[in-house]
Parts: sequence; structure tokens; C-alpha cells
Amino acid sequence: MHGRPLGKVVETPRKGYQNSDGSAPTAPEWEAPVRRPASAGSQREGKASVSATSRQPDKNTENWSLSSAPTQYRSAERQDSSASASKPSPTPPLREQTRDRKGSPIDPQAMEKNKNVPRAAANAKPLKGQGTGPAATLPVSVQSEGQNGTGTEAKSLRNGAGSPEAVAVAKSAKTRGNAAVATLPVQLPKQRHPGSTVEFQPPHTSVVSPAFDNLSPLPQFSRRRCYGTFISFVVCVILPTLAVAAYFFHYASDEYYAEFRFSVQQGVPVLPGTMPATASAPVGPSSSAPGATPLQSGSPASPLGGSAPSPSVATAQNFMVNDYLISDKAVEDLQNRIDIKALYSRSEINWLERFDARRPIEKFASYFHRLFFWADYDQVTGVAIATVKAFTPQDALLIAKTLAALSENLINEMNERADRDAVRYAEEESVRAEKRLDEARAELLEFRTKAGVISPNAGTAPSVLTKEQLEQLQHHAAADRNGARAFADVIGNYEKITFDVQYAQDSLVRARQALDLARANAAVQHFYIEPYVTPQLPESSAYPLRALDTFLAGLALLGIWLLGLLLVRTVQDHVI
Amino acid sequence: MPAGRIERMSFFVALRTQQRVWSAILRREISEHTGKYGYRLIIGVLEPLAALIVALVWHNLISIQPAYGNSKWLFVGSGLFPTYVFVHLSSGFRNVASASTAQRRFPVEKTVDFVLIACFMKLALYCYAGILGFSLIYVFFTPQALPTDWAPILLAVLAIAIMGVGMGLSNSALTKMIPVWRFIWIPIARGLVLFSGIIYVPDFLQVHIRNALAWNPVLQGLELFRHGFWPGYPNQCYSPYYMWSFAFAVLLLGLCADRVFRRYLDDM
Repeated sequence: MHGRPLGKVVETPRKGYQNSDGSAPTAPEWEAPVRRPASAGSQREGKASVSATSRQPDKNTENWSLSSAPTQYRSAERQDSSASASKPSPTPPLREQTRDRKGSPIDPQAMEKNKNVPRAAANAKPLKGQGTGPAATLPVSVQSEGQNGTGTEAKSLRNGAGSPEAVAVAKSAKTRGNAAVATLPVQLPKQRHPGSTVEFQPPHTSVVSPAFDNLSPLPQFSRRRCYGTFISFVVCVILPTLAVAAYFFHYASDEYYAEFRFSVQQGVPVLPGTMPATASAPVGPSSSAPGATPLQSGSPASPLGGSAPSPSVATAQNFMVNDYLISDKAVEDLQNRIDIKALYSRSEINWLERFDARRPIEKFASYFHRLFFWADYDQVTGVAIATVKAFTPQDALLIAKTLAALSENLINEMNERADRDAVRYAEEESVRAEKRLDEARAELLEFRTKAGVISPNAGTAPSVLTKEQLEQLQHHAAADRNGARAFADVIGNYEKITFDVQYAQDSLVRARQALDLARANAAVQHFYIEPYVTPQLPESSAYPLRALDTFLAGLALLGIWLLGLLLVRTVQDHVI
Repeated sequence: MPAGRIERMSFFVALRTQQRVWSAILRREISEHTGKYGYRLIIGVLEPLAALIVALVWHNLISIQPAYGNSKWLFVGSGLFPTYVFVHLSSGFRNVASASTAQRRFPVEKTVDFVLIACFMKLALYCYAGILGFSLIYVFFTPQALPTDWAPILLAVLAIAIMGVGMGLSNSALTKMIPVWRFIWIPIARGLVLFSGIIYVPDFLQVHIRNALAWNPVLQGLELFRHGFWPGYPNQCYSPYYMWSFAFAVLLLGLCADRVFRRYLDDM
């Protein structure tokens, strides 16, 4: 803006010179709006002919203006052009007239008072020891010879503003046509010491184009401290972790666990002719039993093709038991036996983990299976594991034992039904066989009655015959002379009937044997649970793992918070 | 607010800006993939199908019986699909980060936007190919190809997609910083095909082998995926906590890697 100093004029008093009052002279400093020197070289040197700008009051406005200001701030190259030198300086816009370079408003009254004084000089700092007054301006022509020279400019320095020499200097600058040089009626400070040298000190900062001096600063993003990250960290990580730690260390109830590991084994079936007592030794998984697993049979499963363990009845029974343990039926059976809901509804248990006994059994089943029980069956090893958690050791043991008993009852019920059906079928077969035999015998009797022959196929005649037998034989012999064919038919029928009787007898024997076998097998338990790890009374609580759970919870919360933070930052990267 | 100061854009406006950036990049990617005749899109769909068909033909030739179920096509296909989704999502972003710098038109477009859109494109292509493949299996081979429960399938695909995106972001950053990383990751990704239970059931293996394989998160996702077809599928190895923890940990690692190495990713 106008009045922006391009440098400052420093007056250095001559050595040995003293003030009138005997004090040591001080180097007055005052800033004058000096023009850029005509030559760039002289400008860089810092000692050049500089003059204050000419100021003419703008009669059309309240504020005076620098009529030649636009030309003042042209570049050195442009200032050399003669065309621009003769042009009158346009009046600056009204906007620029009301504010100074820093944007502060200009006092019109002060401007009116200093209308003949360069603005920078008017706003210059007062000289040391000098009262406030219009700063002195002077068409200063800095010369190496200082004020001791004999030139007109030197004389103007000595004599001060208003002197004929000063006016002459101003006029000569104009007539030279140097647009860079213009004069103003200036006035030196009162304490200007004669013989002192006046130097031009270039500004420390580089001079930018004066046209941008009056521009308002670029808008800045509002800088405000954002505590969102810290607050979110505290809210999402610190506080929840502390809450989790407080819960686990001060509030959570101890949990005891009891487990049992079992395998459903298949007993040895009773073979015909064997005693049922030998069936107590379980065959179970062996190389020859159908329930053998690849691991136990010595042939590991091939990774290619993944040959599954041979499905067997025992494997199916294991699956059934495992599935039963995780079903709602098991929970209902537990409820009927030991009132399991009451075990998890005690008042000693913290309210967060306690189950409300008024809720239905289905809700309890979900609660129980989700938090306090799990079961799994490994097909490769043939082993099933069931683990129970409770809030007291006795409860855990009781539930585990009850579950083991329920599992065995399930296996027994399945076995009983199978055995019952087998026995029933064998009994029906036996009854049918007996009936068939009776029919065959009745037919044989009827035949004998009609034919009058006990056994036509008898090979030898009896050695002793009764009288009746002899007469009967003579009668048959006489009949056969004429009916040999009829006798053959009799024999045929007799053989047929006897065959039927024999078959019925054999069938009855087999049916009865099967019945006996079925009954023997029913007496033997074919599938049974082999708990090789029985439930034990826990001595100390294994859950919750307070420190580990707290650490994992904190870690999880930290990870979630970091993930959210990164996602938010990714979105914020798209701020335009 | 003092004069000459402007307020920062709100989060929701920035979110909307990001959505617009994503939609612009997505349209750009679609047009690039479609090409003049759309053959690139068709190839993108047919590639996973071709891989599946080749694997199944090979298994038919060597007469491998399915380890579970009654259809080897369904069994192998249900193993190939999730594994390939992870492998291609995690390996396909090595060049995206570099290419994004050249494709970027506006400063508001970031490398992570290009990576996420590329991931979305790949996932969409694979899902489309998977639906097409399982439909063909359903029509020609076995009705079991129609899932009995869609929830495990969707959850498995989601988990594997999250793992793939996380590993993709990490790989794109690591490849920029350590150029030799691409030669390390490729065999790891291809090795997952052998150790993810595609042609066998891990639960039928030896206990110590099964315990070692259970550390493979892709195997976890695969087991969950197969539960959608066979509810009784063995789940000895399956651990949902491990699977989801790994997925989100990898995603977190990928986002951190993107932010830490952003300066290097944005440079040509």
C-alpha cells in the first residue's frame, strides 16, 4: 500500500559532535517512503539517490493520497520507461485510501494534517528526544559526500526543507524526467545534526510487487485442537477395559468345571452255541470290528481322497450321544432329575451371569449350552469329550455325573428297543413254527386213518404177525393184484406228509433256538458308554481367567478402536 | 470465526466425497475391464470356472473319491472357491498401488481407494463365477449343491474377503518397500491350496496334523463354507474366534501399512 517503506533513512551524526546541551548526539531514524532508485545497481548497493515521494492532496476525497503512488512501486525496469514517466499518477481507488498497508483504518484528520507529508513519514516513529510532530521529510539525496558537499542537494540537507535549495532539487528531479524521482517538501527532524551523514538502508526483506501490498491475507483453515481421538480412545478403550477389569476382579463369580470323556463301545454279540457271559468283554474298536477307525486299525487315513473312518454302528452311537448332550432334551432331563435351573439361579451368583428361574426351559437350554457346557466327538480317535461349568464344585460334579448317567440311559434305551424287537420277532417265529408242525401232524394222522397204513414205507415185514395183520396183508395183496398203482399213490402221499412233518419239526427247532438267542442277546448290553475319564470334584476354580480375559478384552477393544480410527482417517483423507 | 478463516469439511461430507470417489473409480474400472467388446469381463468370470473344471477333471481321471458327501465335484468345488477368493484377493494388488499413481486424476483419489475398488471388483467377479459354477453342479451332478444354510456361506465369504483385503493392502505396501516380497508371497499363496483342505477333510487326519493345519485361517473359512452345504460336516478344526480375530487383525495390519507407507505408495 502507499507509504510502504522501501528502506529507511538513517542519519548518523558526525563524530565528536555534541548537542547544544552537551549530550551525545543520537542517531535519529525515521522512515520515509523513498522511491526505488532509478538503477537496479544502485538499489542493491543501498546507497542511491532516493527521494521522498511527492504527495499532492486529492481534493476530491477526504483523504489525501499519493497521486504518484502507482508509479512509485513499479519495477525498476518499468520505471525506466519514459512513456510512463510523463503520465500523471492515477488516483488510487477509494478502498485503498481508507486503510494503510496493514489494514488498519487511517485517521482522516491525521491524514489531513499530514497531507503534505509523506505517509510513512507521518506515521514514522518519533525521533529520540523529539516531540511528536510531523516527521521531517526531505528530498534527500544521499550522496557519499554527505552534507559537507557543495552541491545543491548537500545545501538542501544543511538548510532543511523549504530552503530554496530543496525546492530547486525537487524541480530538477522533475525536469530530469525521472519518474523514479519525485520530490516532496520535506522537513528534517529538528535534531538533525549538521555535518551528519544520511544513509539509505535498504529493507531487510525483499521487496515484492507493491501491487499486492494491500491484499488481505489468504484464508487459513481454522485451527482448533481436536480432542476427538483422545476422547474416543478413553471412551472406547480405557473405560471399557477398566470396566472389564473391575468386573472380572471384583464382581465375577468363580466357575468350576468338570469333564468326562467317554466312548460308546459295542459289546460282543452272543453267537449261537456260546454263553452270554463271554459277551461282557467289549470288542469295541479293533482291527476286525466294523467300528474300527483308521487310526486304531493301523492304517492312517490317506490325505489324498481323505478316506473317512469306516462308518459303523458304534460311530453312529457316538454321534447320537454327542447330539443328545447338546440338545434341549438333555436339559429337560437334567431339570427333571436335579432341578438344574435352581443351580444357576442362586443369589450368590452375580446378577450378570445369574439365570432368572422364571424364564422358560428353552431359554435356559440356550443359556446353558452357550456358556456352561460343550461336547464334541472326534471321529478319528473315537473319543467324545463333555465339559460342564458351574458356580460351585459340587454342582459341576453333580451335573457331569447326571449327564453321564443320562447318556448311558439313552444307549440302554436304544439297545432295549432293538433287543425287544428281536425277541418279539423270535417269539412270533417260534409260534408259527409250532403251528405249522401241528398242521403237518394232523395231516399225517388223517392219512394214516384213511389209508389204514401206519407206515407204508416200512422196509422189512415183521417176523411175528398177528391174525389181523395177516388178514389185512392178504386183503391188500389181493387188491394190489388189480391196483398196484393205488399203492404207489399211497406211498407218495405218505412221503409228502412225512416231509412236511419233518420240516415243521426242524423249523420249530430253529425258531426256538433263535428265540433263545434273542433272549440271551437281550440280556447282554450291546452298546455301553465307556467313560475312561470320570467326573471329579474340582478343588479350585478354573474360570474366569481374570488377567487373560482382561488383557484380551483390552486388546480387542484397542484393535476395534484402531480399526475405526483408521477407517475414519481414510474418510478424512478425502477432505477437500 | 475470524474473517479470512474457513471451516474444515465435516466428516459426513468427506464420507460422501469418498463415496463419490469410489463410484468414479468403480465406473472407470468397469469400463476398463469391459473393454470394447466386454471380453475382459468374460475372461474374469471364466477364469475361476476354468480352474475349477481343470481340477475336477483331474480328480475324475485319477478316480479320487470324495472325502465327504456323494459328489466329488461339489466337494472339490466347495474347497476351491474360498481358497481362490483369498489367493486372488491377496495377490492381485501388487500392481494396483503402482498403477493407481498413474491412474489418479484428482488429488482426492488415494491409493487405498484404488486397492479397495480393485478388491471389490475381484470379489464380485468371483462371487458371480461361484454362483454360476455351483448352479452347474446342481443341475448336472448333485442336488446337494444348493446350500442348506446360507448364513455360514455368507459369513465364510465375508471372513475370507476381509482376510484377502487385509493381506492385499499389506502386500501392496510391502511389495513397494521390499520388492523381493512378491517372490515370497506367491509360493505362500499357492501353498495354501495344499494346506487348506480342498481335497480332503482335515478332521479325518491324524490329530497332530490336524492341529497344525488348524492354524491356517483359510482352512477355517473353508470349513465354515462347507457347513453351508453339509450341516454335519466335521468341525474339530473350526474355531470362529481364531478366524474372525485373524481376519480383523490382518485388515488392521493392512490399513496401518497403507497409512505408514503412504508416502512411498503415492510416489511413482
